[in-house]
Amino acid sequence: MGEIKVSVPDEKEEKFRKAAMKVFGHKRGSISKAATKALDEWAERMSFETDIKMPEDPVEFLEGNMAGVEESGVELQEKASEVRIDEVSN
Amino acid sequence: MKYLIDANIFLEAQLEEGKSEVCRGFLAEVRDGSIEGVLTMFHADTVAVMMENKGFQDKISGFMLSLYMYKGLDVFTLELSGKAEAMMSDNGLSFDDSIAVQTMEELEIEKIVSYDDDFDGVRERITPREVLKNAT
Repeated sequence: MGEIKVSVPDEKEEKFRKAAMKVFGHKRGSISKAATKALDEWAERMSFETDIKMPEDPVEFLEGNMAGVEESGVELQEKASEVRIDEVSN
Repeated sequence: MKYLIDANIFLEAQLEEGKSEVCRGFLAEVRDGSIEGVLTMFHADTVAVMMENKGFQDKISGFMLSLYMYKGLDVFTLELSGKAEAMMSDNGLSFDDSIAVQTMEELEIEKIVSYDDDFDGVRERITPREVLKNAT
């Protein structure tokens, strides 16, 4: 069996321990079972079959992506609702 | 303090006008985990819909994947029952904004980071600049 040591904020640790005990009971091995399940689910979600590279930095990635668009963010968001309605009705 | 982050913040961050820099500054704090936020899957889709509509389809995959990289961001999916409940409240908001309010209700989030003044008088709204000011 492998071993992974992780550091997490106190409140997340407490929340995780409580959830693990609730699901797997107050017995030895509950935390490991819950952690294995969580790790497995996360790794599964991340194993997308695509050639697309993750951006190096999520915020730098945004810069200038929609350059040249003149509407504001709020106007665009409102327009998105209209676009969705149009797509549904066509 | 955890905030709900509206779609217009991610949209502004990608534009070239005045608010884009402060939005990216705010999102950088979320990326680093010093500010915690929630984005609904519906609002992530809203951003993608407008990126597509404006001809930036090639950037949508990168945008979606980039959401995994924020230490302080949770992407939340509202259940169908939550969406139904959102439309039952008589607050005069659009479906989009009602989804935000319902999510705040369910996750017990007090403030929404948004430039949309439709929330004023319904929920406490705060701008990225104000969040950054409060954080210092």
